[in-house]
Amino acid sequence: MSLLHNDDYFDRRLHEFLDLRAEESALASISGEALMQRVIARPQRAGLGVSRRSLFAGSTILLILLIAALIAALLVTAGHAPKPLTTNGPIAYASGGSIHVVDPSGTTHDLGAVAASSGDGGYCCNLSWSPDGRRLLVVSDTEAVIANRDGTGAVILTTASDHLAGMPAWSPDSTRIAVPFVRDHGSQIFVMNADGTNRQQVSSQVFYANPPSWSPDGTQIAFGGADLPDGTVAHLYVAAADGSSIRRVADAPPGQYLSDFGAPSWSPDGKRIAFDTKRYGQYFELWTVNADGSGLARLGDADANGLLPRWSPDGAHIAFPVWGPDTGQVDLYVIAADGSGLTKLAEQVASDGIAWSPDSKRILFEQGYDGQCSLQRTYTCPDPQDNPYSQVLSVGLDGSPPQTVLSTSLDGGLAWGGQP
Amino acid sequence: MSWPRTSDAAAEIGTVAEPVERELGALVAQHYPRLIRLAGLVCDRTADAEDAVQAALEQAWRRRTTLRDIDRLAPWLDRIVVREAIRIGKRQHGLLARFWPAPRAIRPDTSDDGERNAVDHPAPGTDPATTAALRIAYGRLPAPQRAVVALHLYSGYSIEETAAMVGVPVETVRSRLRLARQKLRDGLAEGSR
Repeated sequence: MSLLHNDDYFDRRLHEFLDLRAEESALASISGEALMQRVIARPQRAGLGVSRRSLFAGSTILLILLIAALIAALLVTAGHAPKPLTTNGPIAYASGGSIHVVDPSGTTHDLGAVAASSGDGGYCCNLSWSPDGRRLLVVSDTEAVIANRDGTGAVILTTASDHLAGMPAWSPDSTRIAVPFVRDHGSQIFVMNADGTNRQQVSSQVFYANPPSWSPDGTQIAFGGADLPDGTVAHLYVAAADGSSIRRVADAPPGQYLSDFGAPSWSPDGKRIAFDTKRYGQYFELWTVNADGSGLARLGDADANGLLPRWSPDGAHIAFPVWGPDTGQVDLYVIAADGSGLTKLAEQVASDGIAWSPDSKRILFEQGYDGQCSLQRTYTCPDPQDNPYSQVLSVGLDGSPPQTVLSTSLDGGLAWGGQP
Repeated sequence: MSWPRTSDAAAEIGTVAEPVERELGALVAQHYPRLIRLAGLVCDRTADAEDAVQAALEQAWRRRTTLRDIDRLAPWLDRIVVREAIRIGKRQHGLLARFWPAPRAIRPDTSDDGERNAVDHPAPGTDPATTAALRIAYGRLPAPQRAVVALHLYSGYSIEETAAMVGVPVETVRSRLRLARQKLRDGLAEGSR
């Protein structure tokens, strides 16, 4: 019998490892004095947090009351037949261990878990509607599954030996998926049919490839990649979707220490690609570049710390979260595609999901503790253990206040699909 | 309550001018070494472990006038640290994952404090192959599973205490422990092949 099957042997090795890892953490961390200074520094920011949170809470309550009154009036006057509220399709979200779909009439369907996670405590899930609105991609920490809108017809794209390296992307015609997989300690992009067949590697020349984005015509795939494991020699690449070619379309400008190119978003007309980079390994910057590699330009302020740009479906705007490195707060911004009109739409964006409505008029996002307290850590936040707080809001581009869509905490991402 | 005021503890964090800071210094000196180890067992990155500990100490400091039971302070702090660490771990799968890239080769930490990442340290005094295999397997455990491992197997809390601290039923703790141990054992076996 192998030593590994001996419980005493395994327990000794495990305890040795836990002791070692704990000691490493203690050695690697800042001193107690430095941490104390961080704790002491926090109250100075508390005043701002009080006014903002109080203002937000008050306005939210008023807004909820107004919306409730409006809905009640509509129900009385419009009879019982539910009618679509917008031309947009269903909203999908993960909460309470299940995937839920809210159709445009407001009816919520519980699809169940859909994708298995890595046992109790595992993560589930990030979500993405197919462009034709017929199917939902559900990605947990262990597998990627595609299911119909009602949860039936689930197909598992991944095998037991696969390790996902990020969120897969639908092809524009909804027939294929581009997936980043862990390979040889790095990662590579593969394209497969939406039923998991015909898997083919399309990335090359890179040690690791970040999650991809398809060109609107479905012939090319953009991704950020690094040549070296430390991520310091990074570029934006465009590969043919059939794997036949690959080219670099963006490098760091001379003298700029940019790394970790990622999160590409292709403009709907196929002409430009928005993406983010890290500067000095810490601060994020947004860039756009023509698909042929010309016209590299920074989007917005270099110090803005914007990341994860998302082009609106109509191509007119780019939405992105902005991270405050001092406060930890994350806010939601939008900017016109030509770089003008930078506008803050909402504050305190939480950890999961920002989604454009298919009609490009609104943006869905989660707001709550992770944005407001866990990151910001002001003294005004209630104890998250005692008073969980999170909700999903939608905000328009017209400057009107955000509206509550779901009063629930999310386990994972959000997705807003179109009507098939 | 009044915080423990040990002159040794205050001396460890240096001379501070204000009595309030002396009290906070004593709190940090007494609990920080334990808390940072506990958080380090749940978080991927040392910076995240520091954030979790900071959150716990801030809450303790904020409630210093209402917390009466000194004996319960340590487990209370441990509870906050672990729950914060779990939140950070879950967040790593979401939108903000790029703020806290997981310590995998696919997204190497290139931040200024990257060299302080615990997983990059060598493993003196233990079999390197075993340690490496356990590192990989442990790195794949979700934060909630690491939390019960840290509280029960490392800190020595009972199953019942662990369940109360994490905020889940006892059976869930047993399930997470069983899954975590199986994955670690599988990882060790895989590494030895």
